[in-house]
Amino acid sequence: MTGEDTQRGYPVASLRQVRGATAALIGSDQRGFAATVIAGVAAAALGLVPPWLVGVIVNSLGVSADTASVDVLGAALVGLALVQGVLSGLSYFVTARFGQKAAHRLRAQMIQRILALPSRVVNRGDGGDLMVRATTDVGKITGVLGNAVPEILVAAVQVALTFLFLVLLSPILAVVAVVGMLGIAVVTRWYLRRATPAYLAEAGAYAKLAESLQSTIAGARTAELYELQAVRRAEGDRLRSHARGATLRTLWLRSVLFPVVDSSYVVALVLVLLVGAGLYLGGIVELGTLVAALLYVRQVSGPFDTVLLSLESLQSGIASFARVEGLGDEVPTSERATQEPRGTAIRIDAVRFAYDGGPEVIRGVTLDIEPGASVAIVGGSGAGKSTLARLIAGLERPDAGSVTVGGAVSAALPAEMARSLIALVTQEQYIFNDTIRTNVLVARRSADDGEIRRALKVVGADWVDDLPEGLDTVVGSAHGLSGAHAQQLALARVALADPAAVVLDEATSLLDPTSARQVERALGALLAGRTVIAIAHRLSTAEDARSIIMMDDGVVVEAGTHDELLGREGPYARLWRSWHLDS
Amino acid sequence: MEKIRPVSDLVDYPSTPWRYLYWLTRSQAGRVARGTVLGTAWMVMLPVPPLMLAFAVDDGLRRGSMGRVVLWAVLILVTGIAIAAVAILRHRTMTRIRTEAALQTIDAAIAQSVRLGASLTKRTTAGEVVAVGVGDAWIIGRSLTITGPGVGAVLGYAVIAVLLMRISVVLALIIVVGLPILLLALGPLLGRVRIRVSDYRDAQELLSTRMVDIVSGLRVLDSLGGKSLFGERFVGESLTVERTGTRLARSESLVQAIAIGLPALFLASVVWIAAHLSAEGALTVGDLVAVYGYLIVAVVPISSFIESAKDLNQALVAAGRVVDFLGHSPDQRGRVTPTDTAFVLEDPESNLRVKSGEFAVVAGGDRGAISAAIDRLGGVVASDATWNGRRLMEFDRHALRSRVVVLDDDAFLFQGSAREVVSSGRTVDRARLDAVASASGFDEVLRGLTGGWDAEILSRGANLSGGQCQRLRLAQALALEPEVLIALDPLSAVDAITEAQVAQRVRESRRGSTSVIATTSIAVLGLADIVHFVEGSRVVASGSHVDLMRQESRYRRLVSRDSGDDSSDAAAYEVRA
Repeated sequence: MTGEDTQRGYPVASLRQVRGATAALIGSDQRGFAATVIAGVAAAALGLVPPWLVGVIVNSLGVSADTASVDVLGAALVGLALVQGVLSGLSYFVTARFGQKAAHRLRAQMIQRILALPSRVVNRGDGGDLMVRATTDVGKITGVLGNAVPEILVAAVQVALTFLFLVLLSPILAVVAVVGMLGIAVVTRWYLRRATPAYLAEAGAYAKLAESLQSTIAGARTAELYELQAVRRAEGDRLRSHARGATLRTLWLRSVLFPVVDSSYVVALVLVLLVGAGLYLGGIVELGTLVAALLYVRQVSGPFDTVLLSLESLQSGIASFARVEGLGDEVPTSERATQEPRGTAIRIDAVRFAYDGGPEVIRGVTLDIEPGASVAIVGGSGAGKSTLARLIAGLERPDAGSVTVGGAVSAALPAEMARSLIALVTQEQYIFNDTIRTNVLVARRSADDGEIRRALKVVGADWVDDLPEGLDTVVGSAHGLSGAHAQQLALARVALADPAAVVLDEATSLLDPTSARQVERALGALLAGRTVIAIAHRLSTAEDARSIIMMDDGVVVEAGTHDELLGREGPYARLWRSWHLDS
Repeated sequence: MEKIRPVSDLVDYPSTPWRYLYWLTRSQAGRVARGTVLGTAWMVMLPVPPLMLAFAVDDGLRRGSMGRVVLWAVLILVTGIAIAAVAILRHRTMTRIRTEAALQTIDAAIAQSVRLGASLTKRTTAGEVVAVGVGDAWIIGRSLTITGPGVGAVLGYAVIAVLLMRISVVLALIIVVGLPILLLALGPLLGRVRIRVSDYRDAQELLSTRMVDIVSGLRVLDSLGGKSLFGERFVGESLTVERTGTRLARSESLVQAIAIGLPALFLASVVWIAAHLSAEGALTVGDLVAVYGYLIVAVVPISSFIESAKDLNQALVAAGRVVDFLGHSPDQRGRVTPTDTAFVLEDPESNLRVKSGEFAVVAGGDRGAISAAIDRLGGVVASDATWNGRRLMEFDRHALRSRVVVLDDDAFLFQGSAREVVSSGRTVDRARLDAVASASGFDEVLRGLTGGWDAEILSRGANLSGGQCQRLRLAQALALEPEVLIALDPLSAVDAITEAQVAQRVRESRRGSTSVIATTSIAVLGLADIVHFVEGSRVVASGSHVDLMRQESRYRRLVSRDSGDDSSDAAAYEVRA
């Protein structure tokens, strides 16, 4: 795991895939979606009746001053308002419920995909990218599903119905209103073409600024020790002015959009007034009809604005959806082990391996490791030791040759079975923000508390018993745990998994001597009776192993016991001597 | 010889949320005033077109005068365009106010972080600091624009009431008295929504913590299993989010029903009364149209007033967090500049004593105690450690740092090119860069990076391995060419061969300067002028490595672990069959 790490991101789904995924999301809750649409349309439609009623009232006022009939219409207006209120509430609820359900399904699917990502993909990709997709993007889609989509839906229905009513009232006036608003279509096209990149740039600029702020906070101590204060502030200044520039850019886009749209409403209103006046004076339309038409034209601006403003967030929601869906492309079709493993002998046969597109780091390695063997793999940095460890543990698939455990391809074993056969222990450990119980259960979820306690005892984590909340104690990044204790928890996982073979990749190198002793004692107890393959950065590790494999540049250059190899005066002997001369 | 440096660390931030908002406002007082005027003008102008439309109906249409209609139409057009212009000026001003206020808060947070430096982690919890991130900055920024809608809403509302007065005193009174009552009715309901919102937020937070956890620990789940366990936990918590979200929606839908239904009811009632009055001849048709138009417009100041109150409330909470963070002060330090070229650094608490020019190694089993001693000796934390008998705390922070550099084993690596990281923002020429790369063993890492010195190093060295990060940090520390370099286990994750080479080269490059290295590695101990053996938290023996090996059996045990010389003791992994 050295310089081979490439900074390649994950794929992004095509627009067609996004459409398909959206359809599937809606399709899985058709009733909820139908309820949303029906309630939204009904509420929107009701909102359009009052102007029409006012028109009727105006007309009836023109005919005769009949108070009673006006009162009936007025009462109808009040009744409508009541129904409209109830329907709006209902519409809001069914829409939100649909959004919540859809978001839940999306998250469930997302987590399945993330968990199904092959480890080489996880290692290859940029961890930050995955994190952004899993949190920010999913959050954005949820927001769009729960807010923007329903809002747009209701507003769009309102706009459509307003025009429909206008047409019913007077087709000519409707045409006039549309002509008056043509400017909106033109400016919106102009705006949308520029909006997405501009808003993405703005979001990107603020994300960078936020990241820099977080770094400055997390690295405040380092900034003081290395006198980086001015550098940090300068970076902050630079990113702030970028962010300001990005904001001004989107502001400029709105500075064009808003005035044109606002003026278009006025133009439409004035045109309808003038043409309508002509028609009224010519006796073609009634005054009430004209008044209703004018009220509709005034009223359409609200929902229209909503649609225009939501289009941008809809666009960015689609972009997020494409990124989330893109992860699906990385999930392999499930591969099943063809053979049942028999025994626990590990066979590495002519294995070659390169990280995506990089140079070969393992160039033809063949090894047989019998059950119960203890093997140390030594070599300098970049010799391919850690990669070999990952291949043996089945976390990587060789490009050529095979790695088998008991005759079965290790990378193709079902996870639970693979863990009972072979486990990789590295210095890189992660403690989840959860209880100690859950942290250990990772290795075998069917285990009971007794088994968990035994596993903890094996690795010497007796301190757990002294905790007031015992196994229920919440640990993880937010709740400090010493390095040694964290390593013990990690080892307890291995004890619980009870694998036949353990691959150790510098499990203790980051610990101080005292803690390292504790962990080593835990390891000693843990390793008894198992096959051990230790990647050794310290030669003392190697000396204790029954056999030593010396690697250089992706191939095995020597193999044998410590004494044999010393006697052979080869690369291992030279390495050992140089080390001892230095000290 | 003591020089006095100008006071640069002292900053006076506002101490209460209200004062903080005032501080931000004052920084762009002109813009905020402009925003208020524009916002108010906009609100006041909104009811004008409905009024004109009413005139167009009464004065033009009903009189059958096309000329009057055209006149009113032109007036409506001009007013409408004027409103559009005021609207965009207002929006531009408000956007600028929000942006500048948010950026000012972010800048204050950055400035405060570097001001606190090493005392930051001690003074504040991580969560507190993270909350003062960008979210709070925007919430606060938004609150600065409420003066426009706030003043505007009241004035706009008043204008509508006055205009209505012209038509009917009864209607005006209904509006002036009725709508506020309506708003008050919403109050208790909003309280319930707030509780549900916080339930929902909690559930969401739990879920996103889980997601971050899963992504961060994916490698562990990969190598040890547990994917199904965490997958199911996540799905369960996601379901909780769905449930609490739906519950929240239920309360909110009630608010929505009232928010839409009540004004509609109000509108309908008023129109009904107006229509009734018209039927009786008390009002004209144009008046009726105007009443309708006013009521629709009246919704704008009302809803913006509600928004303003909500924004201000949230902003005060956010400003409270920011003020808390800005209120912390770094350790008190003096202004003295260390000028002596020959010196003795001494930490009485651990009994650690280092003379200028020494290459000293501190060896001990308790990393915590040694790390604390190093922080004291380097003057990073407040202590009684001294420089030629003078307490380190009396020295100016910058003056001390220009002579003493402390290299943490987990020093934060900021994002930037390899050159930028190693140079620490100073100008370091290529020859010097290559020299420190070679001395630290970073040259080997550099060869594996595309772009060499221009290769981008991610924040926290995320694209490097542990050993590579250590060599990069070492190169960075060496590039500063400090007179005194104090380092904690700088090569622990580097393999033995490289470690031996690097230790030798560092020793060479530090000749003539002072170095204090905490480690138990033989590769470094063998090179030391003097080794201080620490047991518990105090130096119990000092001398050359060879002498200590001969005389101190406990020292021998401590360091033998790494050398492999003494296999009788708990040597590395007990690799047994």
